Amino acid sequence: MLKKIDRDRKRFNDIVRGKIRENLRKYVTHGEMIGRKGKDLVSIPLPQLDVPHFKYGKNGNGGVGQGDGEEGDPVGKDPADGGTGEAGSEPGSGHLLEVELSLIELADILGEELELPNIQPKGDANIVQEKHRYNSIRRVGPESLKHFKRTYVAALRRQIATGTYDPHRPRVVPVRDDKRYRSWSTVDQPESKAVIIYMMDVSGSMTDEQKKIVRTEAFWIDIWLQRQYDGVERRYIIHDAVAKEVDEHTFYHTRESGGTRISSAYKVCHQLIDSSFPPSQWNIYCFQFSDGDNWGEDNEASLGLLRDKILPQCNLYCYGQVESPYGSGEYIRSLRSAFGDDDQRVVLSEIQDEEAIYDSIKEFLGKGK
Amino acid sequence: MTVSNLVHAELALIEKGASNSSGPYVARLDVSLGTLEFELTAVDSMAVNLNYLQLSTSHLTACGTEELKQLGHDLAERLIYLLEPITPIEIDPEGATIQMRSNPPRQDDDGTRYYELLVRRSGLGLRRYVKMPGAVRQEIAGQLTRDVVGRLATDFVATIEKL
Repeated sequence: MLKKIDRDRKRFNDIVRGKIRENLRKYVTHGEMIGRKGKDLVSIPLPQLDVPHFKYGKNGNGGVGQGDGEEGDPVGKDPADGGTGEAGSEPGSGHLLEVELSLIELADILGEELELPNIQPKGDANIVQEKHRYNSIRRVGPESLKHFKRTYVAALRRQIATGTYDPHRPRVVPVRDDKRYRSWSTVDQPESKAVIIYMMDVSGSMTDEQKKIVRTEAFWIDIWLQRQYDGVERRYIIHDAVAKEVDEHTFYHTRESGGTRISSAYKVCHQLIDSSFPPSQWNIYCFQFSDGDNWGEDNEASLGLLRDKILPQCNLYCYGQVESPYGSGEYIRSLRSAFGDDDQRVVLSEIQDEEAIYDSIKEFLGKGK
Repeated sequence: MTVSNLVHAELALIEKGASNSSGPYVARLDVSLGTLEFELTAVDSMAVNLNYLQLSTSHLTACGTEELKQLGHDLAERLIYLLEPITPIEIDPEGATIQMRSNPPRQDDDGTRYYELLVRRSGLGLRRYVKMPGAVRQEIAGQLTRDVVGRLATDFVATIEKL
């Protein structure tokens, strides 16, 4: 039977989830959760929850019967104290409640709100992974795996059986035969593996604002794909006229001044897939972000690489075009005319500003690929 | 004759002939470094609508990216009289091109407008663009006084000569 405190806790969690759901667009858009992400938990600032609470009157000057009133005066607030002003319309600047939510719960809320379909992994769990499970006990083993509780229980049992146990002087001393060790068995577990390859244009026309949009969007994509696969691998490629694979920090904090050659990123992406992520074993997701201001003559080469080298290998190729100070570039049009709406592996999204991130995520992940 | 005077003389000629023909009017002038070319859609005694201004030269053919980059910075320092300042935005070593643009561009209800000056081994070319949300960027005519056109042409030549 559920204890009352568990019931209350569940109710509180439901209220919290409801609040997060109400404000999800704001959280998604403003990217404020990114800095609050721990290993498994995200700390979320919530507006004050409307829970019942006591209100105290103006009787802070002493105990009962100590005030200014006379006997027979009405008890309660002086109507004159009410004033004639109206309630303010701005939100208060009170304390924000911080709640911690697991990444899984956050992904579930995201999935429910955006109505994201669960991803259908490529093939049918095509990789069999050997996993060790510590689920048995042996009499031999390394000391590091000694099971203290079982060892002492065995020693106690032996002492009682042999009559050497004294309840008034309860000393239990294990001997060699009492020792018990944890042991594992190997099980074959079907597993789908996934890699997300992020590609970002860091050329001179991509400003910090555009990168912030990319970062926010990538955070939510990560959250969702991590929910769908165990241990998603992430790889990062940056490019201007030349592309290279970098770590996550460099990905978000680099600004170059080179020209934009998207084909350079596709070349590195293709090499990366070839060398490390055989498509027969991996679900490959490519997310590319650029302002679309590709140098004119590079469009043809880029589209060729995408069509011949990248698309045949990946589950999904998503292209997000952010708007630079010079407006959105032409590359997304080239992609539209090359692949149209027919190719289910290609998803295109124009992200004009932070407000557009929410819908863009839905466009990217709404296919369940 | 100075480059500026050449430009002014050509503009006067175009203005004179403008009553007989409708634009665009293309002018090609031989200057010390090569050929200066510009296209106008309208011209009057004060100002012009300039589609593009281009200086073709063989003086830059041997230049590396660093020299072109330097040329871009020199131009950014000189061309401070346009509607918006222009600075190098992207440098493409592979194509040996420096892309300079208005920085910041002008943004209003009519979209985003900016100059784009490409510095290449074959020379310099200045154009103006407008980009409306959701539309392809369009080349538009930049409205400049005759003096500014003369000054631009002079600065194009002088900056390359100084390199």
